Amino acid sequence: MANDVQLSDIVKDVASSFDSTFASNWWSNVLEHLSGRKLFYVILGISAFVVFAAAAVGLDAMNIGYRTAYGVTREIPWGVLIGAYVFFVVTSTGLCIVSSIGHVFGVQEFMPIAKRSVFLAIVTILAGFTVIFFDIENPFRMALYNVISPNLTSNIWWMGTLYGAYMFFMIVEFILLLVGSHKYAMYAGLLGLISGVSAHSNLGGIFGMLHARPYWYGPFMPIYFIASAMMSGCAAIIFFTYLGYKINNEKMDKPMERALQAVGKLATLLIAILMFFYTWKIITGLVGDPSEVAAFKAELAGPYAVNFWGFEVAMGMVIPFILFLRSKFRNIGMMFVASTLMIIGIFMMRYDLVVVGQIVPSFYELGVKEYSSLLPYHPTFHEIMIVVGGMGIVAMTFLLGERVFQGHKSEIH
Amino acid sequence: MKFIVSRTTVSLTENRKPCEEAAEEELTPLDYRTVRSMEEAKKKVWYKDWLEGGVNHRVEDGMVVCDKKTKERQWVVDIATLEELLLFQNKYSEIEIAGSAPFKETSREIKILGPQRK
Repeated sequence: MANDVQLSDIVKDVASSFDSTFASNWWSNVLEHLSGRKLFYVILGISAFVVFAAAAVGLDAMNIGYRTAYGVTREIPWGVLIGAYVFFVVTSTGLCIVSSIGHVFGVQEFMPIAKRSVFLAIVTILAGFTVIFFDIENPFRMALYNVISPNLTSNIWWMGTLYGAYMFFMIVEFILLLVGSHKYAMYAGLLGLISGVSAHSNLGGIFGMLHARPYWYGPFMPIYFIASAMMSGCAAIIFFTYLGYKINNEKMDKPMERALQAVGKLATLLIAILMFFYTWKIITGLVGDPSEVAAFKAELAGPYAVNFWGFEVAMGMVIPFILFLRSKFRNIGMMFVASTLMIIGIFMMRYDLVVVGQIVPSFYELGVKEYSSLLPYHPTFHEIMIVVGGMGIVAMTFLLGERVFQGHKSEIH
Repeated sequence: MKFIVSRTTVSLTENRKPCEEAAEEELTPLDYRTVRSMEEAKKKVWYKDWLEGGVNHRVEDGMVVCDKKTKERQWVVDIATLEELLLFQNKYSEIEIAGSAPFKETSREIKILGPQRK
């Protein structure tokens, strides 16, 4: 009977027809064209133009002064550029950690993803460095004083040093993988992994050791950073591998399919862990200091609620979780959609993490009249362009990498 | 019939034989591209590399394919009958037969799931 149609049946029908929708056909046409000669170079050219335009805007920001060009203030000194930097370096570390399961620890299932992942780990960390280059008032002085006047008690000194070491080892590893020296590549990968995990948990420590910001303070951050890095890495591996195969029109062989299935399962587990982390972070946060409660309220039901529920929770975790399960880890196309949503959601996670931690004024609990409400922050054109430039770097080098390294084939079996 | 033979974990520091019966052989990888004809392939960005990297370019199963010039060394076992396969399974306890990367000589793989003793 028509009246007996349940909402769950409709949802099932819609979900089962997912593969044959107009959107998926349209998307496969886009991918079909992407591997065409002209369009490939057009997209590569657009990416290069975006990088060039972003560099010009970044230099303009340097020229007119960051205070004028950026939306950051004395009260909110870390804006979208720091959020984007965290996003890129988190993705890089995640790519390194997940791919190391294969090429450092020898788990054969993960072996086929090694080369592309290491390459992308280098690309994303470079994008991160580029973005933060435009956030630091004098980046050259930072590089110089990092060497001649190190402050060993500063987390930020450790961050620069450890990420520098991480990038060096990853580049060495990639070169060794290219020349087929797998034994030494494994050692370089192990050193890259150790420095990457140290650098990344230290980055979590930068937030977690700030007493004045209760939203961040505590041992949660370093652990959260590593877990969420792995989740980002899984999403990036599925996303870029799928695109890489489409660009090269390659038929995905069974070992690569199995590798992506394993990565998909790991991603699902990590999403579940992250949801668990989030739940307890919120529950404990809501019984914390008044300023911590204010930050969480802003995130859950205030000006950042759309970011949180729409992007972080729905796009970043819940929908991908359902899609992964629904794909049964066999429908790689559906896993690609899930990873695309995750990447968008994760970007917003980083942005919110950085900004929401600062919107509650430091003197909030003292009842100072000027600081009784949440502080505003809106990214400016300059900031947005630099972030887009970082994405352009990833897109451009990814496309070039697919062309130059011909699909990043791995010979380790 | 030839099967590529592998373990669930591999040593990256040495090229260890996955089982007693395995012999290392040079196999010819097949490079499949998901376009229907050579004419379509010619329009693609990868065409030149694909053409120069292989021989015997042809259309097969609705895709273009070639034999790659660069061979790959793989551990292989030769199993002719079901009895031999069962004996192999008996010896190594848990095995799994799966599809491998496509080679001219084989596209099947036997994975030995148990731990390897040195």
